[in-house]
Amino acid sequence: MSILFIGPYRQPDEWGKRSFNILQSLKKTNLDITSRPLFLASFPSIAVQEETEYTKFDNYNILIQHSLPMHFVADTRFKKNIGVVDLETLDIEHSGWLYKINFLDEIWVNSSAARDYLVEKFPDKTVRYVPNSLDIDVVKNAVQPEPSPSLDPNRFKFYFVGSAEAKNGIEELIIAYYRSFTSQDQVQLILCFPGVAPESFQDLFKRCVQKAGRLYEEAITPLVHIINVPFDAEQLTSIHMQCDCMVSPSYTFAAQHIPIQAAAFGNTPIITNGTGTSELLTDKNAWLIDSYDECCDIPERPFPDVFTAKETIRKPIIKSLSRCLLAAYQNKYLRDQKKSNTNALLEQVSYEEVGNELKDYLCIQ
Amino acid sequence: MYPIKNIIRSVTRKEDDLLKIITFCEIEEKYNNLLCQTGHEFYLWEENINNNWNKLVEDKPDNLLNLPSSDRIYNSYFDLVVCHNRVEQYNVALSVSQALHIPLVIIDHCGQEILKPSTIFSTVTTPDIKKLHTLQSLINVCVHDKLVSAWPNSSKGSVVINTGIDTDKYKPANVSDEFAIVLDNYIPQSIAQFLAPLNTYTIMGTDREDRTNVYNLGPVFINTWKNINIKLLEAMACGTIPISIETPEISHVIKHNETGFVVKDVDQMINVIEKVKNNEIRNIQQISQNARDYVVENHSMNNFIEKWNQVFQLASNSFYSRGT
Repeated sequence: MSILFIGPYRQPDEWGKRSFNILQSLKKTNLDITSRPLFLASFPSIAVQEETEYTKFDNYNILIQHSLPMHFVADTRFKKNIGVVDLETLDIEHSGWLYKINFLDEIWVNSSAARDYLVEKFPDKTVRYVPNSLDIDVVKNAVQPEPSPSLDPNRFKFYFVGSAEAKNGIEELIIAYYRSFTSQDQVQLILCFPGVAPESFQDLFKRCVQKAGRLYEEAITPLVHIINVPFDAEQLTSIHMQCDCMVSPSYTFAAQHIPIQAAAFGNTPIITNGTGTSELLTDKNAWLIDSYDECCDIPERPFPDVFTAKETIRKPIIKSLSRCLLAAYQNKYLRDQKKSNTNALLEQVSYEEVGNELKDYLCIQ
Repeated sequence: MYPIKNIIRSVTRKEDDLLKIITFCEIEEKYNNLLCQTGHEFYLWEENINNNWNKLVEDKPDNLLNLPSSDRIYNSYFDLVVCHNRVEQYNVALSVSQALHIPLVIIDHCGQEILKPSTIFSTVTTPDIKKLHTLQSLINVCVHDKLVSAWPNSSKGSVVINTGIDTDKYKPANVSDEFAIVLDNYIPQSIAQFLAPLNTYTIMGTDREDRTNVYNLGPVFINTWKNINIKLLEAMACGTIPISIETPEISHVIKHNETGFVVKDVDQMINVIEKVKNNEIRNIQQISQNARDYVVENHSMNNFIEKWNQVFQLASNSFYSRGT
């Protein structure tokens, strides 16, 4: 069986990592794979070429497209057209994306919420939940990095990695952090916004300070440290290894790669319950923030027809996030218990394991 | 962006499939016409760039089509985009290449001193040369071997494909008894003023409906371009004596008193024209023969088509990529 996989696996972002990991899992199936990179963002891409870019077969049985639904094509030369859809929001009827998705034979999503939503829309179509996978060798072979002078080794370090966008829950995180701690607590919040311009997060801080009201007082505010230089996979590993607890209060349903990686490093992430990330990270190995369905009234609108108030996102409750922060800091027993479940997670998300699952999906006629 | 159709096409196309190639045309009617002789399907990009195909310069070949409207572009597939000009066409060509996920080929018609095909005395606003050096492409095609070192950093590989001239079509014929000079019709106002003293002669414009044997309508051809251009080569193939103002590139083709005449100004130009008119140049027949020999030797049409087909073959075995 030969498969053509098209996806943004050379893009150095969350989407690219998901695609890269799907491709690596597909390679473990030992099926005939040809891959082609898709470049849907303007930032520099990863130069490393995959060996699957050099393979060519006379015929292809299956086309797997990992893209935005608006780009999907249904090509009758393939026996099966599969679309990988990382829906960040639900209730997207107005966007036109469902129309494009309907052309496909099979849909892969990475959250049960997205699966249930699409099953309801397309009862006759196969919709599968495909979990995120991970290169577990990166975790197993990681070596202790040189301590970074900006990270205080004596403090408990919470950290966030991603872009300074509202949908990532940064405002909730900062307010919850101010609410939970004072300068007397031996904590530090490391906000990693790789490549983000200072103006972006300065505005964000202003908004948070306004919302925090009297919570914000320089003399009593706990430490916050910002890293905005771009970093590579190795530096990300170093951050995972020097920090204690990752916080990812994302609003979006799509499962995120970095919190799963953080959990693999034993950093018991704090994540939004009800999102795709909480499919893999449960209260056995993470801290779950209570959340609720809300209309998507966030300012960033990456696409003209989606991310509007017609859609649904999953909003974290600040008070619950605050409780998670305090529990992660204060309850070492519980933290260690969650940490001890890391090995089970590693087995679950390895390329081999996810590859086996994909092989089953692909070989079903 | 609708790239997936093109990506699927890059994987599933067969070696002998005709390619669908997007090209640009500002003043490149003749070069596009030559490219069409490879047999592939060419599509003229018409958005943003002033593409007015001048039928007086060259008839549009059957396999050169106007690009369908935006919607239809995205419902069709394409294999490659070729860009003729680093200064003005490149940005549009790159965005087409990126949006459609098809490789880009840059054709270098000129080197750094001239930057883009331009007439004598015209000035090109100097862009950031460093940037022009690092333009991404699958491959660079230089139309003359002297250009191969002009853009050394711009891509991993450059190939020289000397412009092909059909020397069976462009060949010497009897020159009319009345003395005339052959001149490119494309003359901006600034050059028209400069060339005003030539108005005392009968002038035959190159761009006309009955352009067969146009270069044989007079014994001399006045080159008005800074770069090596197809009309100059066609004239030389006809044995018409080329006379040109000296430029860094023209002197690679016109060797003074050997394959033509290179002059400093219009006075010198008129001086040469007068000498030709009055049969005062003893080796004029030899220069005419040398000019044709130069083109026959260096600008073979077969070689042009063969080499372009190799480039298209490479493109056919390739796919759009970034960061490599």
